Amino acid sequence: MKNKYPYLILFLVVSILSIGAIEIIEECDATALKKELKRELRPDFKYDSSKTSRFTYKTKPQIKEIEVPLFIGEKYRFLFNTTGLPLKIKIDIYNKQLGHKNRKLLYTLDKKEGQDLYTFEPEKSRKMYINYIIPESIEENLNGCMIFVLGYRLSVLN
Amino acid sequence: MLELSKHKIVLVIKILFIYIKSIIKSMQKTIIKLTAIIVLAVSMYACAGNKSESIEKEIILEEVTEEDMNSIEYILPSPLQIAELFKNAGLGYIGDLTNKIDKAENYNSKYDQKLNFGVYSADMAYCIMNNQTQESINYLTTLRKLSEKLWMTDILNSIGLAERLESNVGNEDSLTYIMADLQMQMDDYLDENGMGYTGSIIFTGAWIETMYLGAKVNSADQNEKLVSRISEQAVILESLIASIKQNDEDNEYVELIADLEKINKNFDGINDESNENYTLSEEEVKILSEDVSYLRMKIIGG
Repeated sequence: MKNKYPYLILFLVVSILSIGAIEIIEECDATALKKELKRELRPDFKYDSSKTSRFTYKTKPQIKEIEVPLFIGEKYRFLFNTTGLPLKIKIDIYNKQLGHKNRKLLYTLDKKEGQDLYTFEPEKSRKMYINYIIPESIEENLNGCMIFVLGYRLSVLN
Repeated sequence: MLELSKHKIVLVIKILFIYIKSIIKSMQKTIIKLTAIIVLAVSMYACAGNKSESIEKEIILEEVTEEDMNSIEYILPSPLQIAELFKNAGLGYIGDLTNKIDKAENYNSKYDQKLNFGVYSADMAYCIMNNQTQESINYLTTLRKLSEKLWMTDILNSIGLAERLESNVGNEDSLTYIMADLQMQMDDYLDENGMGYTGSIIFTGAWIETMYLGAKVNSADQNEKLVSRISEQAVILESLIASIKQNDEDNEYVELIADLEKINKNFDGINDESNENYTLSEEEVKILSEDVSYLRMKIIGG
């Protein structure tokens, strides 16, 4: 029994160090954050799709674009959860892709103090482009995540 | 008295020293091994840190040299939404159009399993929305079998899908909410397990099957609203092709992409931005239907 103690200690030390060697990527609980948004869909909208955007803040600003196809004449609800952001980002929604000369800004979300969940319902449904404008940071290895959930409500045809 | 205590203390220290020395001597080999392994573990930790640092530097350098530093991400609609759109536009039920469930035994590669998981999902949605209860349950059973092969068993079990389907027979509204829950579970599972690209392939199977059903029903009974919804799918197909290309690092889906691009050519008139309200003509729908049927046959295995 006495002889086994050093090996037990060794095992613990190696385990702790090995765990440290594995890069911990999941710094936001995307599933839990999505659940909060899904509650905002009911009762009028059904879940359609979602996107978790994970990123690392860098020393220069970044833009991440998400293309969202919508069907003409139907109703949609865009839901955003900003809880996973250590630094606030700006969200713009356009009708055309980044770089398109005639693109029009449809919606801007500026994060408000104390608020993490945001909703947008477009008036006219067509393909849309969400832009996350991520600010620069001097802090190294600063990670964040943005959760987007899309809900739909189909019109009843006569 | 004090001097005697001091002497005792020194003696105790000497004895302890000799004792520790003897222990160290006896454990010498063990200590050397321990030290080597600890050094190795610390090196692993340091290397992991260095590796992540060097990868980070690599990424920064890569971003600095590329002109366009921003990559677009694609969201695909749920097959359920597309099925509901088609249903609302007049997609009725025609028996024997859907993929046979006994073919599921033949899908042995991950490629076939993913695509046909999508196909059967679309078939299940089609049956649910047309009150074909027994067929719906048969497709659910088939999906369960395929999900085991794809290691996605938990998705179908976690929301008690079979029980919920059975207890909501005839209630189309509730059934579509149940299908939406299934979609949520699947998206969460794929996201948590870094399998977003699998979602694109499953969607491809579902989309092809839905387009096939739409085109076949339309050919039996011409319907302007249904043709309009079929035409609108141009929007989805472009995103789908881009999404698969983005994730196809191993060129596993080159043939599938080529087949989808062939279908996309039918939407050239719609993809022209000056023609936002363009709808496919009867002839164009017929050609589109042939191209969709061809790819569908390849996916389900004739």
